[in-house]
Amino acid sequence: MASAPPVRFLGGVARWCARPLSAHGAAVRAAVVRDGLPAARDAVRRVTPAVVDAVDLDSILAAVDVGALIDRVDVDGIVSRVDVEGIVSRVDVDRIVAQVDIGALLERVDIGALLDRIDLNALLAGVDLNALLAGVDLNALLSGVDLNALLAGVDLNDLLDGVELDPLLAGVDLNALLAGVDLNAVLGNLDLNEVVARIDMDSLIANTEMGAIIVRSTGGAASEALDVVRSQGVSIDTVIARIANRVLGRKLDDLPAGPELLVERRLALPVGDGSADADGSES
Amino acid sequence: MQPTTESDRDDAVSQQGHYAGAATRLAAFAIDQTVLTTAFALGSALLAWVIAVVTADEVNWEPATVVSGVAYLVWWFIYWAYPWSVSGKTVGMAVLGIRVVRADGSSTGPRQGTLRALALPLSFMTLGIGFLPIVFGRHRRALHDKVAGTAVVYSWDARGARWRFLARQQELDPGG
Repeated sequence: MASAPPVRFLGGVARWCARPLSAHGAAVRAAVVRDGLPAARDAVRRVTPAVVDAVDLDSILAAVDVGALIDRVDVDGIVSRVDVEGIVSRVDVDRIVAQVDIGALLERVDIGALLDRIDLNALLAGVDLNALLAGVDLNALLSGVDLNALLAGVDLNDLLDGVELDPLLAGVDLNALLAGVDLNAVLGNLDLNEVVARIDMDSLIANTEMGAIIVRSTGGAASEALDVVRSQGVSIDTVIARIANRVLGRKLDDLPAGPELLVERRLALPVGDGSADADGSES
Repeated sequence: MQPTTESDRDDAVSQQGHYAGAATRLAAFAIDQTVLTTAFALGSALLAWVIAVVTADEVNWEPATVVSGVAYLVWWFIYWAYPWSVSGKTVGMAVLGIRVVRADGSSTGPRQGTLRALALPLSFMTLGIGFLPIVFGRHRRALHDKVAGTAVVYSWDARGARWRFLARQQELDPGG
């Protein structure tokens, strides 16, 4: 029906009549684009600040129920759609870490406050120390420890003050302990002269039978007479020496006591009747 | 004889091995001189008696002063040199508990004994000045000590003497 000749004729007549109208419309549209858009932009630019000022964002936001809004957000659905593994695999962790100034980061961390918040007891209660230590090579660990430096900082006196030695020693089998000691080696290193020098012979003689043995074994009056003479001689020599030192204005400590071989050598028990040579052998 | 006090014995014990002083050395010298002179006199008298007995008094042995003097000097030298060379102590030194040692404290030998005996008269010939270092010297060495490279030290068993003294004290006064 639409393609009948009268219809086509009427359509053509309508188009011919509307041609000036459409030309005019196109001109208007061009004018709008050419002049209207900038004007519209200018109008919007002028109106927008006023609109924004007039809009009370606080009241608008207050009217927004953020909780309900968030509740409506299906976070699980959103997260499930995120390919976390793909994202993580594409992240160059090394590059990120290399850019992090850990020193500055740590400086800002209050480690004390951080540690205060950690319940170490609860933390350690859950740790299987046996399993943990089973995997530790203690030999390798201790080989790197400088025990001397470690012990140098230990106050052994304080440490031992807290140790009860009696119960400790009660559990020690001294016989077994001594059985393993090479007494010959111990005695071989022992300086008997030093040991004897420490003996208080005066007390030994006064409190034991040794005094009676000495009296019975000595020559009696003759030896006592000699002792008296010699002792008196030494005393007189001492007095003369003191006078001489005072005259010369010198101190006794500044003078050599005797020949170096005799004075430096420790004197052990007397040998025989006192006729020993300087090297200890009897003449 | 006054018994010694403990302080005397303490001094003696503490000085064993130290340089001997003037008083002890002088006393020892006096004893030695007495002994050697007495021995020489007795020896001379014995020799004269033996000659008289052997020769039935036909020979009266009276040597000239020079011969006696030389003999005395020889005896004097032997009396000092031999003991110093062998043990470092003469009779007087043994009584007073001192002995001659080398300057470093080791035992003397024939060289030191001989030199010391030869140098001893030097200390006398210097009008006694050779003996002054015994009192004022640092090592208490006289002139003849320095010539021979020797020193004189206390060597008696002072410690044993002290113990004997204490033992007797304890015996006398057990409750002491």
